[in-house]
Amino acid sequence: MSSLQQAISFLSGTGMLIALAVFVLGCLFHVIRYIGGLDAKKDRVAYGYHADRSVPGIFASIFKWLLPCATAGWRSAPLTTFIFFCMHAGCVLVPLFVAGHVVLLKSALGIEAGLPMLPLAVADVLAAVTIAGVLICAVRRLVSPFQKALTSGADWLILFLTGAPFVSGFLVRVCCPDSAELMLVHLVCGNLFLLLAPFTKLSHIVLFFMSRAQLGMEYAIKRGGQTRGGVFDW
Amino acid sequence: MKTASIKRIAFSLAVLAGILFLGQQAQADGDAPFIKIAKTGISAEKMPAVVLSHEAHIKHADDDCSVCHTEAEDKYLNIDTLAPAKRQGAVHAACASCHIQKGKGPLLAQCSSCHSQQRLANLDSKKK
Ligand code: HEC
Ligand code: HEC
Ligand code: HEC
Repeated sequence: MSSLQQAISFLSGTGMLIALAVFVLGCLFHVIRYIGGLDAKKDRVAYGYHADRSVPGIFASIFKWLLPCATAGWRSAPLTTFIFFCMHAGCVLVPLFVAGHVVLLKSALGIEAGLPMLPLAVADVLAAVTIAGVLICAVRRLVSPFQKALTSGADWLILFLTGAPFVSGFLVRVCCPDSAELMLVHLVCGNLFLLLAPFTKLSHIVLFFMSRAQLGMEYAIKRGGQTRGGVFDW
Repeated sequence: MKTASIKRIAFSLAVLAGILFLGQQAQADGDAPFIKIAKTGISAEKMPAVVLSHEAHIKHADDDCSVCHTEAEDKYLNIDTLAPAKRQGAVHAACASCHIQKGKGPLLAQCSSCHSQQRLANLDSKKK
């Protein structure tokens, strides 16, 4: 085999499994560290009590923030929210359910059953929307004064890590289906995303759920949270 | 336009039609250069159907039909007799393993080299 083919074989097989393992273990580490960092006394939240309220509170908080209009936070900036949700839909659905990934994962793990596959056309549209979303995020960081003040290298890194696999994957699909070189670029970018996600701001993939859960608990345990009827009767 | 040139054009068209017709005959006979894989018992739903350069592949297999046809000549490794859940993995492994072995031809990751929209369109337009 040529070294190009060897690289493609490795990065779409064993290499991909290694990157995936780093990603999963890294995310798990974040979850454990987050829970370990909770301190009932310092946070002044009795995490261990009122499970009848706090557990539903966790799910209410996560669920509401996963819906585009369910929180005041989302409603306050409708356009940003719309772009944000479109982009994240692609970021989550395409890597998990695009046919190529499902088939390669099945073959790498040597199993017969796999995740469902998105129709190619749907995946194409989602990918295009995500690429547009990443570009809009980048432009916003350059022009909006608030964003500019908050932006650091770490933000550019995760925009690049997210954008690169989408752009290279999309190019393989729409313009150069036979290009082994472009496929290699896509594989390098994709594996890089998985390897680096736990060590960058992409850790929000899990930490979003952790901080929503914590806030959901806090609001349910000691304030007028969702599970106490929405508004606290002072 | 002169009648001579009209005749020439008509003649060329007739020859072209003849070639197309013969090509179609050859396709039906199974020795066409390209065939659409359709008898594996897998219904092509998610991906474009695979168009195989059959003649070129006979050479890749050193004229040994049994590399791909274990019993029936028009069936690929009798994939259709496997349990449905095993077919896709089996066909992928069988095609790609030779490509790995020979160091040539698409690897599994290169989905669209086998499931090529363009080859399928070419084949379909030839048939019409
Ligand atoms: C690289 C593998 C390979 C080799 C080698 C090969 N074939 Fe095939 N052949 C196929 C596949 C795949 C099909 C399509 C099966 C299907 O439709 O599911 C096919 C189909 C056929 C068909 C049916 C054609 C059609 O139009 O449906 C015939 C006839 C055939 N092969 C004859 C041969 C003969 C004779 C040889 C040896 C000289 C040979 N094949 C070698 C892979 C191969
Ligand atoms: C006996 C070995 C062998 C088997 C089995 C085999 N291939 Fe190939 N295939 C090759 C080789 C060698 C090439 C490289 C041709 C080149 O680049 O000159 C190739 C190239 C290809 C190509 C790219 C260009 C072309 O010539 O068409 C496609 C597509 C392809 N194979 C599809 C398939 C499919 C689909 C199967 C399974 C049904 C299959 N091959 C099974 C040896 C094989
Ligand atoms: C070496 C050639 C080759 C490569 C590369 C290849 N396939 Fe296939 N694939 C086939 C053949 C041949 C079939 C059987 C097609 C049939 O019977 O119609 C098939 C069948 C399938 C099927 C089941 C039929 C369908 O359309 O639902 C799916 C899904 C599929 N392939 C997805 C993929 C994906 C995703 C990739 C890339 C990771 C891929 N394939 C790469 C040759 C290939």
